[in-house]
Amino acid sequence: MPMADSRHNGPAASFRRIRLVVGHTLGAALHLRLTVLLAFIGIGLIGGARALRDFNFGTAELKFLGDFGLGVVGFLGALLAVLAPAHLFFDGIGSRSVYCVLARPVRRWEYLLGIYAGVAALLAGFVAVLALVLAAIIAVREAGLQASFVPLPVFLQACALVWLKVTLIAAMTLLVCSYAGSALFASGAGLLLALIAHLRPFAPDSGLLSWLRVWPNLGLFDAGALLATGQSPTGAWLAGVIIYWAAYAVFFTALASYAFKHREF
Amino acid sequence: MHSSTANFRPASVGVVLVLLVAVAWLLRPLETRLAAAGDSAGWRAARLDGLAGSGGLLGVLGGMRAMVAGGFWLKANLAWEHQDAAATTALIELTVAADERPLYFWLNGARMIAYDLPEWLPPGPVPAAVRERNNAALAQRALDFLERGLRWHGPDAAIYIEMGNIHLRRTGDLPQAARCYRLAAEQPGAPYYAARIHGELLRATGRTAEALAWLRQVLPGLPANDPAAGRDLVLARIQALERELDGR
Repeated sequence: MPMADSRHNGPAASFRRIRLVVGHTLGAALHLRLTVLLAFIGIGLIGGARALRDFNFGTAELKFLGDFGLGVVGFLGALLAVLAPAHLFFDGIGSRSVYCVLARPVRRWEYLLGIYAGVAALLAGFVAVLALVLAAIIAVREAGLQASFVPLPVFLQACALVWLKVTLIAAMTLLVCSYAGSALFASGAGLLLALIAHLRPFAPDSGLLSWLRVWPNLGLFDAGALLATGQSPTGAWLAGVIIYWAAYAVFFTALASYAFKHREF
Repeated sequence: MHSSTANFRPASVGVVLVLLVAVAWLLRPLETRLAAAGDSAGWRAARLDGLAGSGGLLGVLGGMRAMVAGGFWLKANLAWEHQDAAATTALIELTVAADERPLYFWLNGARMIAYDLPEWLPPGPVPAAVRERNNAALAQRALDFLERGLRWHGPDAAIYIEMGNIHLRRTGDLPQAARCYRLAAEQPGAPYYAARIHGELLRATGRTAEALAWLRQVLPGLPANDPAAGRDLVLARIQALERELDGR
């Protein structure tokens, strides 16, 4: 869209528009019943993890709590990362609010980036809340057992890995949304793509399934492995994972913007 | 005609695929480096095969490995109570496929296979030859199981000791048992008794001079104030071996 008015040009104006879309998206996402439902399920499951101690045989109780809790955060976070972008994207189209936004000097890539950043902020809040509940449960058990779990920085790094993973899933889903005809299709395809990315570590170097290697490897964001060792990974490894995540996140968002730019309403 | 996509254009999909392959190719070296610390591709594939169709795959992929493995372990113990050898073995395999990290599953799974399963022969008289063959086959299966545990955990004293125990008690292969105890004794944090048993097994297999050399080698590392180290015991055994060798 050509922007004759100079007020609407430049990085600062672009950033302001994206920030407005992020705010709107985050506000809408927080009002989703789905978000609240998944958060309550997560809190309930993590809160009730102690009752599941009967299923713990191989590891110390604190490790079991951590493993199970982060598993819940990752699983529900992945569900939210698939369902929320699809819902928000098609809600905008269904309610025709996207037409009002795009009729104004908002570029399509800015709109899409705003949605993605809004969903990423939602996922950050989601992971943070559940991680806080998990940390509280672990702290109580630590006091009860007179034992210590992994150091706090390792726990925070594990939570950050979960967030990186789910935001990558959200980027994949947004790519599907950019050319999908319905939220149902986008959610279904997003789930499938997330499953493929989870199965990606199992892809062999050669053979029928080797084509899976073009897809991101979510096995790299294994927070459980971090808790199992209890040691902080090296700075080089962390930097590598962040670069890997950023490359795919940027790539998927750019592709989604490209597809959305050519989309006809 | 209804379509699930909006203004679908094959050309744009082609562009997307080409870009996807290009990005994956560019990121391949980084990914390989990041995954280098992880498990081997072969082992991962075996884990996937084991879990496919068992209902545990989703849980494992979702990150709830301890929970899923715990469920399988409970079911394995239920099958053990019913003396169902096939189900017990299958469920032990599923347990370690779901979560290969805890040694507990490897050690206790191997004990079930090596010591319990051979006792579950069908009712009625069983010829000694059949019993022996069954014992040997199950002992070998337990040893293979522990070998896979080593592939995941790397050299580990507890796994080597368990392998030594199986060689000692089920297959009666004393040289192999001695080898396993020696490997166990060489691992950091190994219990002191592993070295003593290795020495004892060397003597039992007629390698008295080797046993003496081994015990002399381990003696300086045994603390005098730790009863578990059995320093006096080792010293007495060294003296006995010296007398035995002098008497020849």
